[in-house]
Amino acid sequence: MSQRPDQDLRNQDPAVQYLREEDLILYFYGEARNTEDIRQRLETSDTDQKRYNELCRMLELASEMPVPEPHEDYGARVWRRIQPKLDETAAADRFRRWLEGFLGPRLPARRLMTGAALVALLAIAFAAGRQWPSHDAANEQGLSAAGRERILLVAVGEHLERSEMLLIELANAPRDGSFNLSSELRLAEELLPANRLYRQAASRADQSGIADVLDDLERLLLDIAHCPELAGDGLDELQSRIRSGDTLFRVQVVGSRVQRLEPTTPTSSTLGDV
Amino acid sequence: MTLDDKTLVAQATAGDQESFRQLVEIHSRDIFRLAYRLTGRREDADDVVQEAFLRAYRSLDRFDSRSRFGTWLHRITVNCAMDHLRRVQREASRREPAENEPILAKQISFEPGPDRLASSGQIEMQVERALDNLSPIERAAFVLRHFEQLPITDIGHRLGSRTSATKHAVFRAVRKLRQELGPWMETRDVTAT
Repeated sequence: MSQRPDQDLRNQDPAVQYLREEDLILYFYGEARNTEDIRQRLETSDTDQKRYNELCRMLELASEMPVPEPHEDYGARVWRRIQPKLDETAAADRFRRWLEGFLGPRLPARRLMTGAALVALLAIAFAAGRQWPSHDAANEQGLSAAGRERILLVAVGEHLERSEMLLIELANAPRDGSFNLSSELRLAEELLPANRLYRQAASRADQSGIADVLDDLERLLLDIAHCPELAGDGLDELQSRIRSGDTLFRVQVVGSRVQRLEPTTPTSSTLGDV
Repeated sequence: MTLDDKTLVAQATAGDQESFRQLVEIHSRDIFRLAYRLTGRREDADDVVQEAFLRAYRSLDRFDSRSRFGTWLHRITVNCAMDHLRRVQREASRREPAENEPILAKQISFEPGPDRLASSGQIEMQVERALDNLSPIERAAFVLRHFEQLPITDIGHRLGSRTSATKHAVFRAVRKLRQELGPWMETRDVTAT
């Protein structure tokens, strides 16, 4: 079991009695538990004092990172950039949440039918990145066809991107248990309902390639969401699966394809100097 | 008359975009500084600022009015910056798939652009380069501890990590910075003497 950095001030090797770097770092930031002990040690040990001085110099040097001062009208420039996207992004989010609401484990038949119809409609748009018939749910929000298309693509693109980032995060997570993966677990749970929807939609649209990818992704998400011990062997197994399989790569490919279908939005590069 | 954040948030949540515009005006410069420290690049910081405000707007109904809007926005910005850095990391690994290396395990490495070379001093450039070698989680933990002076426990809450994990992220960051800056500091000392 690992020791808390500020629990024992000395290196464990009796021949080398000095403060550990972790203790010096916490002391520098005023977060060491035994501040007084460390202070006394620094007063009596030239070696530790020298090491601490070097750490202070290095961290003070790091403080010299320059940050450009934003222009006075920076806020106005940001507003000009985001204002056109506000309605779209809010609608996309509401739409995504609404869609996910259809995919609970136990649904009334009528809702299921609506959900199934929606899947079919989504399938068409998913496959073509185009049409959205007039009687669907998104239409109830009073959006134009182009607006609905954008919302759909944004929602699908976001889903794939979030899935991709989750897999990357897990693939690179340290195996020593030093990183808390509970948020990854929660994210996998959140992604599952939407993934199910998109998979069904892709199947209906005879997009077997995409459906296969989403099928793989769904199984992986299920395993992540239900993995009892992400810090132990469970994580090893998941990382092996992510790295050895091609799910991540295929998710990236499909994600890129969807992004290409999304209408181009202006980037911040035109914000100009800040 | 300038309205306070609480009133503006309430009005923006009710659909008043003008109130949200005022919130953008009030907070965008602070958010930019944080985003810049987290990403290290002006263009990336701009992207993060925009994304943070968009996320905030669509999550307004989930904002707890007992909290401070600035703190909430701060948290969203950190998440956006980390997502952004991971995306950059992912794209970099797509361009340069390394053989025999775990997928996407490479660190982000930004070479300074001509503008940075021209406008930054040598110290600043070294520091930026060193910070660029940190992983997103390490950079976020370090920036929040060192520049934003948040206690490690708070940083953990913001990053969704345990305190011990956050502490280790700060340790790793400092260690990497020392490895990057240490030899250069020695050279500078020798030159100075």
